[in-house]
Amino acid sequence: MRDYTIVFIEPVDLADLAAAAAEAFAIPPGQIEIWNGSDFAAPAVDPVIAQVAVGSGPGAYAEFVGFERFAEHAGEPELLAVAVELATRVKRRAVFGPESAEDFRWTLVAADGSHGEVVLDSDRLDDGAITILGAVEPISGAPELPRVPEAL
Amino acid sequence: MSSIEEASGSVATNAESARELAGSIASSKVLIDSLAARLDAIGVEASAQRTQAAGDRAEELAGHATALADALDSLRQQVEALKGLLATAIRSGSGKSNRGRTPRSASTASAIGAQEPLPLKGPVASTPPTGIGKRHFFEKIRMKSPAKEKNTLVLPGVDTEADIAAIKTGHANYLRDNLYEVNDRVYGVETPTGSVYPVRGKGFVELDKLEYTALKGLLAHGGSRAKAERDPQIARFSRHMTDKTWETARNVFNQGQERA
Repeated sequence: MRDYTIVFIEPVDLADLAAAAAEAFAIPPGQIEIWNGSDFAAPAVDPVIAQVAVGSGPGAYAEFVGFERFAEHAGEPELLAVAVELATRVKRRAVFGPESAEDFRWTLVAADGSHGEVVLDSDRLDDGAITILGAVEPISGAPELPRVPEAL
Repeated sequence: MSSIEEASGSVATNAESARELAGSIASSKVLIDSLAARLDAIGVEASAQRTQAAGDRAEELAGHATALADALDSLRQQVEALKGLLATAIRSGSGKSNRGRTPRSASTASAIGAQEPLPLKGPVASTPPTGIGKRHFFEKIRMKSPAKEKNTLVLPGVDTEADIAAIKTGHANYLRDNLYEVNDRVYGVETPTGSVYPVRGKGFVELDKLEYTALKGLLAHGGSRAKAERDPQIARFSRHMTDKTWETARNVFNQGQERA
């Protein structure tokens, strides 16, 4: 199952995020669910193609979620391409998790679209908190992030 | 050294007791939930609500007991680390004092060799592996545990501590990058933190985001899909989950319950 989960680590308005997704991927706005944490903001039209929602823990302000239907609708884009498209449109930083069970590093996409791998605090992630320990490689749009050694 | 051994054993026993207590309380919660459902069904609404509240309290207590067990596990890891440091110091000291003395017998050397660390390969050579995050353990998953695209879970009964000890001492097979294999299980070691995560293998299950989310719902609601689907944190995915999603989560739930 394809999974496009992109977590915004800076505050972003859900309606703005939904509008950005609708415009970027030509999704009829009514086919994007907006979940406010306890209910949907408005009834969505079937088939639902994507969802934007409030973040699910500290440091996670909002998320964009799409599965198979989004993949089919958008032409099977790379997760990174979707993250860059959304982050640059709403001008907020976002992260997404590893796409393989063998990987542990997440990818951060800055508001300007620059991106790179980052390491999250695994203990805090247990509680649903997104805490970036540092970047594995330089990210021009996030210069303040400390570098962590690649060390493999 | 023997007192450290005893301390480690004692802490491990206490951790196990705390975990058993958590398991018992969790089982009680399932019974209480069932009772609440029956009371609700026969129309005794006030009693059903009180029973449900008792169930919620039981879940909270189980959470505290699990937290206590986790804390004791951490303490045990610290004691084990201390033991390792002490053993290294003793070996280093005896190496100096043994110069010029009669070498150890072959059988003694062999016995020590079985315990002694082997040369470390990969990231563990510079990053000591620590523990596995709670979100990876069937018994420790909570509603707040993050669901990723790929989620590997450890089923009850898998001795991950022994596996980590093998990785730590060079007795695991180094595969590539940050991956190690031991006892038919593959683990990754995060750098620079040393956190260990399960990848695949015997006693592990791999779930996608929706399956993991459904499992969280089943665990939080005593195995009831209907109740889980009413939970707002699950309900948001109602148009994305299918019967197959729930079937997979149910299978893992059942496996976990049987092995617990």
